[in-house]
Amino acid sequence: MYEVIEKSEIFNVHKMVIEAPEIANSIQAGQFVIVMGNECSERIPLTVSDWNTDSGTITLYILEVGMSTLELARMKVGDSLYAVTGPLGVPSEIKKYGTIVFGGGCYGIGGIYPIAKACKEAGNRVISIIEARYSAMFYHERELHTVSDQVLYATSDGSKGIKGKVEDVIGEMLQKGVEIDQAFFMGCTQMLERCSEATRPYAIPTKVALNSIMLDGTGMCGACRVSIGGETKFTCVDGPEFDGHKVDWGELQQRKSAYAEQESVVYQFYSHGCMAEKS
Amino acid sequence: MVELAEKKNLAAEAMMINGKTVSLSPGETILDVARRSGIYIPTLCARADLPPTGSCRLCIVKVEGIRGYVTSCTTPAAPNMVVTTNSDEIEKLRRGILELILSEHPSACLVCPIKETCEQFNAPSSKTGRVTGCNMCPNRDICELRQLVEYLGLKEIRYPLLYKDFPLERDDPFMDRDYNLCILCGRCIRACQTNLGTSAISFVRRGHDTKVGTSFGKLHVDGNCVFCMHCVDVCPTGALTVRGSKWYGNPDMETPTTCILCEKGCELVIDTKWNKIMGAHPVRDMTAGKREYCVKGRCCLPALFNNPDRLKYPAIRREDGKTMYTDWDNAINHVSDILSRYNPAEIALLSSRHLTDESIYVLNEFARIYAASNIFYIADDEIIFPVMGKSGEMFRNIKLLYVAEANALPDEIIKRLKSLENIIIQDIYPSPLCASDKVCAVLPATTFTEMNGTKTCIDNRRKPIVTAAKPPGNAIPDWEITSKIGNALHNADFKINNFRSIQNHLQMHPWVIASVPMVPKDSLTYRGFPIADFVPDFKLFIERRLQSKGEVHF
Repeated sequence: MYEVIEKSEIFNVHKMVIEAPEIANSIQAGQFVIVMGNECSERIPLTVSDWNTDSGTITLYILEVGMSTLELARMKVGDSLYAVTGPLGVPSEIKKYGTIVFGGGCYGIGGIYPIAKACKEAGNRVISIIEARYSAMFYHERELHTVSDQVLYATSDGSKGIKGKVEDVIGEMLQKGVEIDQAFFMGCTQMLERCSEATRPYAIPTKVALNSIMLDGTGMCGACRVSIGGETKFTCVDGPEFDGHKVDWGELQQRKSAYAEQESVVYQFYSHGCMAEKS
Repeated sequence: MVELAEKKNLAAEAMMINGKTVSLSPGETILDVARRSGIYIPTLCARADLPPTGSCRLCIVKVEGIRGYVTSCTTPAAPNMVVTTNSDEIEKLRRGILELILSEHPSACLVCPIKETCEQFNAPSSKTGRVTGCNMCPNRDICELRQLVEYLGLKEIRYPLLYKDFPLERDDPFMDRDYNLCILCGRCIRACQTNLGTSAISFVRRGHDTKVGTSFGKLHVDGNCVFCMHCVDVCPTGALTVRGSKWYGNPDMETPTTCILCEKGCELVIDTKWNKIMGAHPVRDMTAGKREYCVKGRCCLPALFNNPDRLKYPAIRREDGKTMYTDWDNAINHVSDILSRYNPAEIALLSSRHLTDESIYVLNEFARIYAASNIFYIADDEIIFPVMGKSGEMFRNIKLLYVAEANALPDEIIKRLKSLENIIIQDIYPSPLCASDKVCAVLPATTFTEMNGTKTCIDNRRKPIVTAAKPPGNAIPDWEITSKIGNALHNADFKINNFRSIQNHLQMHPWVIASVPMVPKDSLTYRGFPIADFVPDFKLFIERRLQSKGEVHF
C-alpha cells in the first residue's frame, strides 16, 4: 500500500506519485491528505496536486522543510509510505466566478493546479501567477499552461517574468485596470499574507489555503485552529481555504513556530539508515 | 623602490599601507602586516590558520612599482613597500569578483526585493535539503559571503545563476554536503591537509566541473576522513554542515568548556539554545595545526546528552516493593536510612572515570568514611582498586552496592556478591541493572555539560568544566548527591559542605585524583554506556569503519 511510483526533485520540491486508489477515486480539488513516512513519523498534511483514477495514484509536491519532509524526500521509487489518510478538508467551491487569479509559490505551484483546472472547466478565465527565486525552480509549468488562459511569472532575481513576487504582478495588473473577480493563493504563510494585503485595497474576494500545524485532520484535536475574523476555525474541517482578508496572520505565524525547539533538536537523533544498501 | 623609501623616509624594517607606516617581520605577507596593524582587507579564501593560496582574489591590493594588482594573502611584505588597500578602482574590481563568485552560488535572496521582511519571517532559516537561497541556508547567520556583500555594498548581480546541479551528499554519518553552494575557495582541503597531514578531500574534475570530493567519489566514511569537522568549521558557505547541529540559528549562549569523553580533555565551545546543548565546536580562532578533534566530542555530545530517556527524577523502592518518583529530600532520607543499617565493611562503591574531579573526590571521601575505602572502578572490563591493599576479596562481605556507572558493572561481579541486599544507582541513563529487585533507589545525575567543576586530564593538567545546559528534570551533579547522602549520615569526619570545600580538599589531596584510571582516547563509552546506543550516526560510523578498516581510532 502507498507505494512510491514516481519520485523526482526540482530544487528542493519533491514530486511523489503514490499508489492510493481509494483516495484517487474520491478526492476533489482543494482537498488534502495526511501522510506518515514510517511508523514513528509525524503526521503531516499535504495538498494533493493531481490524481489519476485509472492508475489509482495521487501526486504530491513536497517541499523539504523539516525532519518529516526530509524522511519523505529521502524515499525512493518502490518504497512505501506508512500511511496516507484522506481525502480531508472542504473541497474548493467551483463555480463561475468570471476572471480568477491563482497565485502559487513553493509547493503552491503544484497545489493550485487542480483548483485552476476545475475552475477552467467551469468556464472561468484563469490567470495563474507563480513565483520562485530563479526561473529554473519552476515546475509543473506545462500542466499549469493547459488549464490557464495566461501564466505569469515572478522571480527574485528577475530571470523570468518580473523581478519580484506574486503580489507585484497582481499590483501591476490592477493598476492596468484588469478586472479580477476572485483571487486564490497557496504558498508559505508570508506569501499568503502579502498577497492578501495586495488585493485588500481593491476589495477582491480572496481565498487562501492555510497550512497550520495539524495533527488528526478530522477536527478532534484543535491543533490547527486559526482565527478568521475573530472566530476560531479548524483548518482541517473548516478549511483549508479561508478569506485571506480575515485571517489573523500574526497568531498563525506564532502558532506555527510553537515547536521550533523540537523541530531543531530532532536532527540530533536522525540517522539515514540507507548506507548499508549503498555498499 | 629605494628611491621611494628615501623620499618617504621609511625605516628599514617598515612599509607603508594606506599612508600609514607599519612595521613588518620577516616571512609576513602584506595581509599579515595589514591585519596586525588593524587595517581591514576583505578576504574569503584566506584564513590566519591556513596556508594562503590566493584563489578568491578578493584581497587584491595595489603595490607601487608592481603592475596591476596583487593578492595580499600571497605576496610577501618587503621593507619600503608602499601599498594601497582601498580605492574606487579596487572596490569596483572586488565587487566584480564577488559578483562572479555569486553567479555560481544560489544568492537570489541577497538581491530579493523583500529581503529584510523575509529574513525576519524565516528566523532561523527553514530546514531545507537543497539550499536555494539565504533563507534556506543553515549558514545564513554566520555567512562570510553575506558579510562581504554588506561590506562592498553589492546591490545586484548582473549574471544569471549558473546552478551546478550536483546531487546532495547526505549518506555519510554526521555530515551533509551541498557542493552547489561551494565557491571553491579550497579552505576545507587546506584544513584537512593541515589537520590530518594527508587529505581526505581534494579538487576533483577540471574547469567548470571542478568540485571538492574524495577519491573515486567514495563516501567520507569509507575514505580516510576522521570526521573532525575541521572542513565544516572553516567553510565560509553553507556547503558543509554537521547534520545534527545546523538548524538552530544563533545560539543563546556559547560556553567554553572541556570535553571529558577521554583523557585528552579537548577545549570545546558548546552552543546552547532552549537550555539544551545544540552543538559543540572548537574555539573559533584556534589555529589549524593545534587542533585534533575527534568525532566523539565534535558531533556526538548533543544526541548523547539530550536523549529523552535521561534519568530525570529521584526514584525509590518502597517497603511494599513498588517504585515511586520522589523529591531529593525524601530520596536522600530513604537512601541514608538504608545505608545506616550496614557496617562500613559491608558497603562498596563503584565510581566512574568519567566524573569530574570534584565528584570523584566526594565519592572517594564517602567510601573512606562510610564504606571502609571499598571503592573500585571498571576500566575496559577490568576491575581496578585505587586504594592500596584492596582486592576482589572485599566483595565477599558486601551487602550494599552504591553504583555511579551501573551499565559498566559486569554480571560476574553481581554473581560474586552472594550476600548483596541493596543497590543504590546514581546515573544519567536507565540501565538493565535498574530493573533488579535489589535496587532501592535510582538517583539522576548530570553530565559534564550541565555542571561546573574541573577535570584532570592527560599530563596532569586540571581543566575547567563549565555549565552549558540545563539538566533534565531534577538531576543534580554527582558530587552534590553524594555529599547530601554523606551529610545525612552524620559522621563528623565527612567534612564536605559546598563546592569550595571540595576544591580545597582537592588541592590538599591530589593523590586521590592521581589514583583514578584514565579514559583512553579510543574509548567507545561514556559512563559505561556505549555512545553508539544514543547516537545513531556514531553507530553507523563505527560499523562502517570496522567493516572497511577492521578497527576504530580517534
